[in-house]
Amino acid sequence: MEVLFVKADDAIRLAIENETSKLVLMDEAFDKMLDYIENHEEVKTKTSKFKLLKSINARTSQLPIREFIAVAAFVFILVAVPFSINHYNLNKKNVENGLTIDKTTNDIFIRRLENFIEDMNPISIADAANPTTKCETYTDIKEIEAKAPFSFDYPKFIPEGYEIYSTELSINKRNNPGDKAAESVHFLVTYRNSEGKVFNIIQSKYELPEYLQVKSHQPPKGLNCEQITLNGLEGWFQTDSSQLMFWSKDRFYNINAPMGMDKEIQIKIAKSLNAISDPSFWPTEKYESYTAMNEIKEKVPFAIEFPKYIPEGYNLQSSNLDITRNSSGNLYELTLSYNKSIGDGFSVYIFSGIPKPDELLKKFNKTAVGNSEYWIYPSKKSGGTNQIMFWKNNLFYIIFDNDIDTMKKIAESYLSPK
Amino acid sequence: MIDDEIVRKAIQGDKCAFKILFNTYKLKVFRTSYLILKDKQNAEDALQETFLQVHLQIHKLTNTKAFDVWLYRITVNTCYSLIRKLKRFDVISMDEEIEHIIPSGEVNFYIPDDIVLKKEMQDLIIECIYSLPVKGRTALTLFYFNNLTIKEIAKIEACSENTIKSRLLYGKKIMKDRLMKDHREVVDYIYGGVICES
Repeated sequence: MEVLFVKADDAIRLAIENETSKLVLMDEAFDKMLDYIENHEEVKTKTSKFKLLKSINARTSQLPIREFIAVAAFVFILVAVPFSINHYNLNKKNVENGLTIDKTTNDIFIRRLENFIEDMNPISIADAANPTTKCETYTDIKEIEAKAPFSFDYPKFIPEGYEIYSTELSINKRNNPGDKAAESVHFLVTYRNSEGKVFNIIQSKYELPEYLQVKSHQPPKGLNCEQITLNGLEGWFQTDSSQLMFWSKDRFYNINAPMGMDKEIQIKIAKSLNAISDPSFWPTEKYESYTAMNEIKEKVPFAIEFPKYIPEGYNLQSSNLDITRNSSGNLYELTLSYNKSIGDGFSVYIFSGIPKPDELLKKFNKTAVGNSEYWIYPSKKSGGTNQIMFWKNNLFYIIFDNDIDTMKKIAESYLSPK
Repeated sequence: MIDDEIVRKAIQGDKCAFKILFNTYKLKVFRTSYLILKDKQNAEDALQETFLQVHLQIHKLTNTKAFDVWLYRITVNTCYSLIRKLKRFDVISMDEEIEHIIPSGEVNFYIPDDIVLKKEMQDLIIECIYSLPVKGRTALTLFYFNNLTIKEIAKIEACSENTIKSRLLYGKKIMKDRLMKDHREVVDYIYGGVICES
C-alpha cells in the first residue's frame, strides 16, 4: 500500500484551520461591538481632529446601504480578482520571438506581475472608498431608472413578510483618465420585514469584463466559502456572513443578510432571479495542477533549469505547476520552493507563455551580468519579501527571498556564462 | 491583505473604511485571540478591545502596508493584557521556560496523511498547542494561522528571530513527542509506526 506523508507544518495548519473554522459569532454581536467602538467616548475625543473630514464623509456614510456596497465591492475584489488574475484569458494574436498579445491581455498580465511584485493586490475598483474616483448616488427609483445603465433583476421569490425598503444606485467613475480604478455601477435593493430584519441584493457591473470571465475552482482566499451552483451558474456562499456571490453573463450578484438568513432561503431567492448562464461567455480554459516533479517534467514544454547556486543547507522542498490551457495557447507557472528550516526559504517562479514585460521592468533597478541582466525589487512592505526578476530563453523568472545578496547569487547562477 | 487605500482612508478617519477593516479582520482577530486565550468569551473581549485600540491609534500608523502586522501586534498585546488581568499565566516566566528548554535546531517530521485527516490526530495537535506556554502558543498561532513570517512575529513580540524559532521548535517538539507517545498505537496499527523524522 502506498503511504502518503504530510509535513508536520501542514498538519498543524490543517488542525488549526479546522479548530477555528467552528468558531463563529452572530452578526449582531459584531454589530454591537462596532457600535461600541465607534461611539466610544474616548474615540470621539481623540479623533476630533478628523471632525472636519468626518463631517464631509458623514454625508456619504449616512446610509448603511453605501457601506454594504463598499463591502460588496471589496468582497468582489477578494473573490473575482484573484480568479481573473490567475485564470485570465490568453487572447494571443500571434507568436513571434516570444509572444505578442493584445493590449487588454497584456494589461492583465502586467497586473498579475504587479500583484507578485507588490505583494498586494494593485487592482482597485472605483467605489465610494476610493479617493481616485467620484461617486454619483441616486435613491429615488424614478431617477434610478433614468440613470441606470442596466435594469435591476428583481427576484420572483421573496421570503414571506419582506418587502422593498429602499433602493440605491451608485455610479463610480474615475476622477482622471490616468487613474487605475476600474469603473463600476452598483444597484442595490434592500428588503425588510416587520421585525426589522433585512436582506440586500446588489447587482454590480464592472468596467473590465474579464473580471467576470472567471470560473472558480477553489474557495476565494481569505473567506470561508462553500461552492454552490444556481441555474447553471457557479458561485460561493460565505458561511460566516450569510453572503451569496455569483456571476451571470453580465453582472456580479451579491445577496447578503447582515442579520442572518437561512442559506436555503438565500439560494431560493437567487434561483428566482433571471440570472442565466451563457456558456459562450465563459472562457473555454482548462486548468491543471501538478506537484510531483516527474509529472511536472513531462508536462512543461521547456527544460526545467534549477538554480546552480543553492545556499548551504537548503533543499528543494516542494514544486508546483499550474497550467492554463485554451484554444490559443498554454500558460505555465512553475514554482520551486527551497527550504532550510522553519521560515528560512526561497522560491523560484518560472513563467512560460507570457511576453517579456519590458515596460514593467523599467520600474526596477537593472543589474548586468555578462550579456544578461536582472531586475531587483526591494520590498516596500515591512518584513516583506524581496524579488529579483529576469528573462531567459523566453521564460520569465522571479526569485523570492528575504536576503537580496543570496538572491543575486541565485539569479547570477542562472545568468552567468558556464 | 487589505487594500492600501482602505487603510489610508481609515487613518484619515473614514468611518466606512474602518468598517471595512473591521469586517475584513474581525473573524481572524477573534480566532487568533481564541487560540491565544483558549476562551471564547475572552476572545470576544479581546476582539472588541483590539479594534477599539485600532480606532484610537490608527492615526499613528505611518506605514499602511504594515497594517496586518500592526493589527496583530495590538491583538497579541491585548491578549497578554487580558491574561495578566486574569492572572492565569505569568507571561514572562513561561517565556523564559521555553528559551531554556529548547536549544536551537530542527524538528521536522512527517505523518501519514490518513492519520492527519483523523479527527483524533487533529485534536491531539490542538491539545498540544493549547498545552504550550502562552508565548509558544502565540508564536505557533501567528506563524501557522496568521501566516506571518518569523521576522514579523519577532517584531510583534519585540524579541529576536532566534527566540521565535526556538518557540516554534519547542511547540513542534512537544507535538512530536506526544504523537510518538500517545498516538503510537494508531501509527503502529495502520502503518507499523511510521512517523518519519527528517
